[in-house]
Amino acid sequence: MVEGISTIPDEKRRACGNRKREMIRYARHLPIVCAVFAAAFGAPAGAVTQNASVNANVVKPLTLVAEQNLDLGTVTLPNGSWSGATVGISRAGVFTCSAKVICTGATTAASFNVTGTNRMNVLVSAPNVTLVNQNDNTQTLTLVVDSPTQVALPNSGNQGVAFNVGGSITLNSTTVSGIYKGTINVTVDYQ
Amino acid sequence: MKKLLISAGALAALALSTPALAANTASADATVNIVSPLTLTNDSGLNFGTIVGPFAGETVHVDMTGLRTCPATLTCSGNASVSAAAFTLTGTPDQGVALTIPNSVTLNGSVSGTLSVNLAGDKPADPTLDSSGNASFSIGGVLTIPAGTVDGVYSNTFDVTANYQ
Repeated sequence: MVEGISTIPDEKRRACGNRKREMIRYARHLPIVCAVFAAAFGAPAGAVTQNASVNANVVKPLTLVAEQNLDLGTVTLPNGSWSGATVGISRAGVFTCSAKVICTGATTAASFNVTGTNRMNVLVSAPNVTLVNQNDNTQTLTLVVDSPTQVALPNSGNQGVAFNVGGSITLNSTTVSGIYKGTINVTVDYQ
Repeated sequence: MKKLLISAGALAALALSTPALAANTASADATVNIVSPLTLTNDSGLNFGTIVGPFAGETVHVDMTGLRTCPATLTCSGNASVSAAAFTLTGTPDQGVALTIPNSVTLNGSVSGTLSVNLAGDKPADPTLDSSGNASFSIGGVLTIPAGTVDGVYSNTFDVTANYQ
């Protein structure tokens, strides 16, 4: 062998990248150790790979605010014996008065506003309400509520979306006079 | 004369040295395991459902059975969508399979930010295909939600590789 000149074939030298001449001088006596770590970058032959998705829906807490009360106005009960007179207001705000009674005064459905995270569906729960005669708390009427089961949030945070809750009562000729009051309790939850 | 004797002696020696069972042969086993290709199917993603803030670094765990544990300070809903990442394998019966599963995955928020999911504690043992050549396994994970996390849908994917052992 000649000093300073490598006897290693050119292909092998190129495969291992650039090396200084001094290194090659010593490497002449040894097999070139030049590991190409292909296996680390890809699965060995015969392996199968699949991917799985990971999802988490992270949302801000819901806030619910009552904005308007429900009011069925004034209902006058005529004399005589009768029953099954329904008076109510739908959540769309349509007031219906049974022909058996006389309805007067302004009527409104209840209104609520919910805020949360955009595009989320919110479940609405509003059970029926017991209205209690303010002069005689043994006298009650059941307000059957008309509430949406869910609302969709069209934005995130402050604006939110409003929804109404209506309700109806059924009267008969023995219903005791007085102002009947109750509380509509609405709960909202993310679906 | 001498020549003939030597030749005869040599022939005799050759005849004597040939035994009934040859000492110069032996046997060894040769085996190769022929298997049909493995197939790996992903059947469901790892889904943590809906988690309601505000957050302070709590963790939500979905285990390998798809059971979600929600910490006391958070509300979790959307239970119907909660699932572990489920896979099925098919191949040659009774073969052992080695799985390669990452230790974590970083989810990207639909609005902004990232969340980290640790998979290391919810990885299955390497499965063995049954007598019909089938196996299934699931992967769960632990999601950490730091304070100030922007709401949104956080998602990503991760790879699972299966090899005959």
